[in-house]
This record gives sequence, C-alpha cells and structure tokens, in this order.
Amino acid sequence: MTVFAPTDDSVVVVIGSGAGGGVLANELAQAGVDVVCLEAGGRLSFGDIVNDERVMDERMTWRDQRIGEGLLNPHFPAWMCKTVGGTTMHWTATSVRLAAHEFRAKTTYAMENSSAIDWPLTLEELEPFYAQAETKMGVSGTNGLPPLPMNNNMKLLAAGARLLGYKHVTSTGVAINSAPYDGRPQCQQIGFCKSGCVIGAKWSTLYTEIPKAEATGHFELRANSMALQIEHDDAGRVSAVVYADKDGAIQRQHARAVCVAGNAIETARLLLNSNSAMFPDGLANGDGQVGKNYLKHVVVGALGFMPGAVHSYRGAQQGGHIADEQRNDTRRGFAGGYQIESAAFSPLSVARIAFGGKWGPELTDAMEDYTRIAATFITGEDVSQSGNGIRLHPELKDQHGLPVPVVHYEDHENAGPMRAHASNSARALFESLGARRVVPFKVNMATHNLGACRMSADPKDGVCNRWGRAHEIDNLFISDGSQFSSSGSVNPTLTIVALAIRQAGHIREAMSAGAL
Amino acid sequence: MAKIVRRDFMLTGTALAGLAALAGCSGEGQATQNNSEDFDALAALIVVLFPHKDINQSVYEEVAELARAQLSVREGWVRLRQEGRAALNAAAGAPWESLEMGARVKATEVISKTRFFETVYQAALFEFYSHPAVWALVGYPGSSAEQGGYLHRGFDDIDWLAEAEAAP
Repeated sequence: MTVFAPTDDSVVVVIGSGAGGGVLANELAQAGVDVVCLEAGGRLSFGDIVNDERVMDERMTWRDQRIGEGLLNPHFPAWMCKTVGGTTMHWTATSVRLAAHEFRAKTTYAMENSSAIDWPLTLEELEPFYAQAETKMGVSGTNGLPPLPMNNNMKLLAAGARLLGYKHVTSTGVAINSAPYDGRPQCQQIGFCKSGCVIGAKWSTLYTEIPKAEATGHFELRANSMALQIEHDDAGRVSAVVYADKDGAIQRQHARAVCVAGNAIETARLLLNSNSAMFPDGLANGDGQVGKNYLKHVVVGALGFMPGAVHSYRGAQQGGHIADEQRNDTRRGFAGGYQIESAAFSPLSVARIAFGGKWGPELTDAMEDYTRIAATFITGEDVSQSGNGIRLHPELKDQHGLPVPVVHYEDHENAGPMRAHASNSARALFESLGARRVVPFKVNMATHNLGACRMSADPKDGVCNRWGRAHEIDNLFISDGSQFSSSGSVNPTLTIVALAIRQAGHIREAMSAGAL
Repeated sequence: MAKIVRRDFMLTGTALAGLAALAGCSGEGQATQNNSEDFDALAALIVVLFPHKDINQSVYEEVAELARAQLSVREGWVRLRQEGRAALNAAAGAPWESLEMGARVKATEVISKTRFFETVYQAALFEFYSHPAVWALVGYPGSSAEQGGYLHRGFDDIDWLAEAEAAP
C-alpha cells in the first residue's frame, strides 16, 4: 500500500472520494500523478452492504450538524453521504447527458430575478468526456451494453408514456450493469440501490475507481479524514490541507495542488472556513461568489394507485426514464425542462415522504394498497438565484470546532408552474392506465447539491473557470457538482464524472507544461 | 388478501414493563405505575395513528416500546410527554384512555399540531412502517439479495398493462 509523507509537497490532495473526487483521483493516479485522497467517511466492504434502508442510512449518511433555511428542513437540509464512494453509494445511477440548451441557461431561459449564467463550455466540448464517463461507468445502452431490462414500474411508465404520445422512453442511460462489465456482475434486480449495491452491479467509486487507483501505486486513500482547512503560502497558492484523522488528531498534508470535491455544501464550507489574513472571506472568494447560486433540482414525486399489482420495489429503483419534457418550451408556462423517472419507495418512504404528516385511515388505507403503487420521481431545471446558498453559522461549531454550514434555499418563481406541469404529466400518465388515485408530492430535501462554487467565463460571476480551476488561486480546483453553472434537468453524476475526467487531463497538461 | 399477521413478542410483558420504566425514569424519577400508564397510552395512541384492522395488538406494543426507546433519550422528553398527556386529557375532557376509539381520534386531532404529537408521530411512524409484521401486511418482502433479487422472481411480471392500454 502506497503511503505518502505528510511533508511531501509533490502530491495532489483530492478532498472527497465520490463521483468527482474518486474519479479525478483515479484518473490522475493512472497517469502517474501522486494523489492523497482525504475522505471524511469510513470505508465499507461488500460485507457491510445489506438490504436494509435503516442500517445503511446509519452507515452512510452525513449527519454532522447543518442548519436549513427557507424551504429546507431546519435540522437536515440536504441528504448526502459520509462514506468512501460518497453519494455514488446512494445514487440510483441515472446517467443522462445534459442537453445543449441546458449549457446556456441564461441565454435560453432569459429569466427575470435570476443570476443564471451560461456554462463556459458547450455540450460539444463535453461530449468526448461524456463518452469516456459512460465507458468507465458501464452505462446501459452504451459500449455494447443493452438497455437495462425494464422492471414492472418502468414497464408501466413506458405503457403510460405510449398512451400520452411520449417518444423518448428508455432504460438506457443507467449506470447499472445490464450485462457483466468491468469485472462487475449483471444486475440481479435486487432493489435497494439507494442502500448501496450488494453485488456491485451499480457503479460506485468504492469498488471501481478507488481500488483501481490503489493498484497504480500513485494513490493513498485516507478514510475517516475530515478536511478542516486549506492553507496557502505567501504567494497565495494553496500549500497544504489540515484535517482531523480517524482519532480526531489534527494532521497536515502538504500539496502541490488541492482539488475539492466535498459535495456543494461541504466544498463551499471548506473554502469559507479556510479564511486567512490574505483571504479574509475565504479562499477563492474575492468576488463573494463562494456559496452563492446553490442549486438543487425542482423535484416532484408522484404515486399512482393502480388497478393491478405493480410490486414497484422489485428491481432497480430507477431503471429508466422519459425524456420528452426535457426540452425548453415556454408554452408550457415555465422555462427549462424535466425528466420523468422510474422510482420505487419502501413502505417507510411512502409513509414518510409521500404521505408525510398523514395519519389515521387516510394513511393506512393507502398503505394497504402498497403492492399496487406505481411511482415516479421527476427532476427539473432549477433556476439560479444568488440568494440560495451556503454560509457559515456565526456561533454554532461542529465537533472539530468549525462553524457549521447554513443552507438557504427558496423556490424561484419558475418552480411552481414547472411542478404543477410535472404533477399533471404524472397524473395523466397513471390515469391513462386506470389509476384510481394519484398522489403527487413535493420533495424539498436536496440530494442533488449543485452550484455554490460555479464555473464562469467572467471571474466576477463564479468561483472557477471552465476547467474547474479557481479564478483566484492557480492550484486550487473545484472537482464536484459545485462547478455546475446551472442545474439542467438530468441527474448530475454523469456530468460530474465527465468534468472530473476532463479536469484530470487539464491538470496533467498543466503539470507537463510546468504551470502547476 | 388481508390476513391476521402474528409475530412472536420480541419482549415478554415483564421485560416490557421493566424497559418502559427505565425509559420513563431517565433521571426524573417517575413512579413505575405512571410509566406503565404512559406506555399503554403510547401504544393506544399508535393504534389511533395507524389503525390497520389486521395488525395484532402486540405489534402496536412492540412499536410503542421501540418508539419509547427512541424518545426517552431525547432531551426534554419527559416534560414534553407530561405536557402532551395533559393536552390529550384536556382535549378529551376526561382521561384520554377512558374514551372509546372515535372520541380518542377527535381528541388526538385537537392536539395534532403540537410538538408532542409531531415528536411521537415521527418516532412511531419510523418504527411502525419498518416493522416486519406491517411489511407482511402491506406486501413488502424487505431484503431480497439472499434470494438472488428479483431477476428470476418476477421483477417484470406485470401482466395487466396490455389490457389497460387497450381500454378506452
């Protein structure tokens, strides 16, 4: 096992081991760049992954104190993972490319009361990296992999979609093995994707990128290591990362460059907590952009109470989607688009999320129809607002003595009409197949945490450039979904992976050119 | 479809009472008798919250115990419980447990916006719909990996879609 000295300032320190950090670290290690990866969470083995939502939530969830404001839960504003592999353990593996227009949020949507910008790169530029990401992850419908076989719930969505005249209905675009791939087995339609895949058929960095990186001899994973502060030298270049190790002892790893991939909230928080005399408002925050323009998705869930059994818990929890509503068509009454995705909910999730707050026969009658429930989860474009964001609490400190993050989120005026349209689409779809009842529900908790350190052409509009490189600090990189200039409508992981692959190439080139 | 679901007691009655007393005491020295009453009231409240006809009373008692274990370690729970009980009795105009079901529901509605209700509801909901007997009632089998998932056990066996698609 490779071990680097804390004083070794030739290493690149990557903070986070999920879709952004895990991929970036492996890509660098494969190219012979020495990497130390700091991961706040512990490392699970396959034996630790079980079909038990509650147990796995305990093992994987980020539970450190956070404050939610606006529409967010005041005690638990966002759901993310603290474990090696990050949210690639919990994700449902939908892997769809952003559409061309979704890279041009400002130009396309021309929204009022919005801080939207266009991405400083185009779909065309990202396409080769999307292709590499799909190869890496084994996305169904690419690289000779067939579409994922549709389970009952997705077959139902597909049937309803046909009746509504939707054309883009597919179980391609899922990073779950539809056939054995990359040494990992074919999906056995177990369900419980969100609790970590028991057999590793779903792509996660825990058992792909991380061991591959370790095999290079250029990579050291330090699990249970919470990054506390990024330090810089007199020239204003980052030079080391201070972190708490598994015993809570404070350590310092020197670095040639630092790449932050802590999942929006922690990424912004770390930069803000790294303030100094030279950077009094935090690193890369000279224009006050760190923590601003936090995005999630506009999310609607819907349950259809169908005339026959669905058993939607069987199989992949999100094994396909309908893309017809991804287009931008303001005749629908809102800007941007949304994805209609297959979903599955355990009884506890149905009761807590779809029927939250209900009790008595209103709840129990619905629960006794559990096997006839069909489900969809709809994610739509979130319009940037500078007031949505992450800041530090003025008094509250965490177990390491650092200010806890405050996450503020309000709906943009575009969200209401989009949500109403999406709910109506779900209703029409389920009713076309004879649903007796449709229950749409709003989900405010974020699992897609984006923006907050966005990339921008103009340094005044964001934190990093088109490579994720901080505008202000040459050897500091943003390497996760924090980079997103806008949310798009699709699940973000594939784009995060594509950006990480692209960023790794940029870092290697900069190193070769002596510019890093 | 519906059938009575039975499940062995996880704890004997004696052990339940002992645990309940422990949970209730948590530093504030409640009498055991009161704790038993509180425990019975919690189980009865959970019946009001989740009135499935075919769930055995013993399941409600198990859920009450699990919820109580969760609640008893929270700061301020003993006080909140006392306030909640008082509010329930006030809404009922009599000891809440002395009422029949319909009146219990009405009194519960009166307090349904209180912090006591919300706290008990969340804890009870979490435990109730995680309980194997409740899963069996609603038709959720839980863990599937040890049976090889559903690839060969009906993940795509839906058989009524063609008919539904053809319907006018």
